[in-house]
Amino acid sequence: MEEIIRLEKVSKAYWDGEELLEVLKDVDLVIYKGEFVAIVAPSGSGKSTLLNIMGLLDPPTSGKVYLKGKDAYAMDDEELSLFRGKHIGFVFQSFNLIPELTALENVTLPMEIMGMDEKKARERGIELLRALGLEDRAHFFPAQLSGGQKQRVAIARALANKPDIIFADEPTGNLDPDSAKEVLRIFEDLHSQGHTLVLVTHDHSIARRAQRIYTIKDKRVVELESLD
Amino acid sequence: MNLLIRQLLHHKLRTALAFASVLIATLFLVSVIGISNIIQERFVESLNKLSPSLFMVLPFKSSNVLMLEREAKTALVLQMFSKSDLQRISTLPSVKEAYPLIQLTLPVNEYQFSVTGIPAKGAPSVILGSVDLAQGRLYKKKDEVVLGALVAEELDVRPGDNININGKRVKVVGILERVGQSLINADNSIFADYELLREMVDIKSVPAIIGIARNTTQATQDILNYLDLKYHGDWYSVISGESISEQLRAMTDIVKWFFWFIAAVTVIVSLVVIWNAIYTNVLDNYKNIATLKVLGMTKKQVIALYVGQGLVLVGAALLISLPLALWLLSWEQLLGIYLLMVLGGILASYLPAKRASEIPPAEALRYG
Repeated sequence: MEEIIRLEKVSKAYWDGEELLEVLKDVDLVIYKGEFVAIVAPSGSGKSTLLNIMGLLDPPTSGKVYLKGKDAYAMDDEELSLFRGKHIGFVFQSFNLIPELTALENVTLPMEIMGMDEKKARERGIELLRALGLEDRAHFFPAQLSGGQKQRVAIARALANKPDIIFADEPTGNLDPDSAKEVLRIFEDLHSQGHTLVLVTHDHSIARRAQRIYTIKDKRVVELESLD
Repeated sequence: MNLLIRQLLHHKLRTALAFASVLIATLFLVSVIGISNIIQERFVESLNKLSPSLFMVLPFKSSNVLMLEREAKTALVLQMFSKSDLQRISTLPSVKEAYPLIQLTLPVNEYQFSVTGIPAKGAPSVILGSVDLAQGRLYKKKDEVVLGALVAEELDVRPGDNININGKRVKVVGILERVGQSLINADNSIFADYELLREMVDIKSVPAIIGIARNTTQATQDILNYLDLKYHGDWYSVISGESISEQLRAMTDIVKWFFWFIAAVTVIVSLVVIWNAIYTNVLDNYKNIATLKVLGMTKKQVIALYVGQGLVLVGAALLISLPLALWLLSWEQLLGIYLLMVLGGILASYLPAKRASEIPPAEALRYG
């Protein structure tokens, strides 16, 4: 199987006032292409930090992160941004849609950032919204959408540049149960289509849907055989 | 571009205030420079009419040539020039012509007017050195006079009419019109032959000397050297068309620089307002900027987004000001001002844009 993410001896520490707070220590992790991985751990255990490191948003204090075989944090800021935009899709708990833009514009935004022609981006945006059942909400602003709809727009946005990996940080955290089920179904569909998914959650029922489940124990990532 | 405009429109009041301030600054800057141009043009036109080679030697100390008429009326004249002074000055190599000059306030018909006496042979070069002849001709004889435009209007006379100066009947042969600055206040004066006035007041010495120099700067200095050597005094002064030009230029420069200063302050204030508007936009969109970076936006693109907002504000103001600028400014000035405003807009918005580009996405998403 093709390796898509490799973490080698990754550590992360923050300064909390005068105190150096170590969140992750010597984390080794490999995720393969097409896998659906869940990282389940209680709040404050460092799972979002791990996701940010893997998503090229936050450099580790030490260790190496390889994405698609490339030493990610050896890239300069510009290369890192372009790599992130092209190869990684993000879905956040609080959706993080741009409020001044419509659903369609939010979806086309990553494509336009990557320099795609406006017309082509629009066509793909409509196609993605249609696939997620939101074609009729294309011209609605985020404030006019429900939580579930917002998250579906965020998923469409994450898929815009046909990324190799999708990271989802508590994607159902702000949703009602029905919307949460719908979002999870979409994730499962994406997985079945061959997308690599890394989902961070504290909810075991969500983590169960993943192929492989990891937790963070004593600042290290540990694979779980089962959640029982 | 879409996001750039939407963010500006999202904060309508802030954007409107920033836009208004840039617009006011631009209009003010354009107006100030435009008005300076007009003043400059008039000034140059006025100076062109003033013969730079015209000089006047006065029996009092003149401190401000622009107030010459008032100074002449109030100056304490203790001594006058002798005929030999006039003769010596007229033979200086730097002096082309020199004539005696007398100025008196005399009854003319039922009014009082200032009457200036210059010999008839000096009238063409001296009088027409700084004023134009609107009607008729210059005086050639002792019983002929020319009038300033306001005098002619007041007395309601035309060339060919007779007037009465201090009981003496004289013929009006010409009307003058003042076009620019002059050593002589032509509008309110009557010009007559020097001998006519000398007879009226019975003066043996020379009250003042007026003339044309070959080289103004040298003539002024030569005359002063001669007078200093002879009198060792400080009761006289030599003024020239050039000295009036210099004083006028200095005066208009002060006014111009004052307005430029105000315009510069207005521009700086408007740029601070832009900086503030963009900076507040950045703070308000802290989390959104982090999202944009998550989506792959590079630092350069973030900077371009916010510098673009500053440029939209400046650009809109410049566009609205364009008709006024085209009307008042030369192409060089227009390009200069527009370039200055665009560079100012870039500078003002670059600092907050730079800050936006430095936002750490992970931290901003967690705490923003």
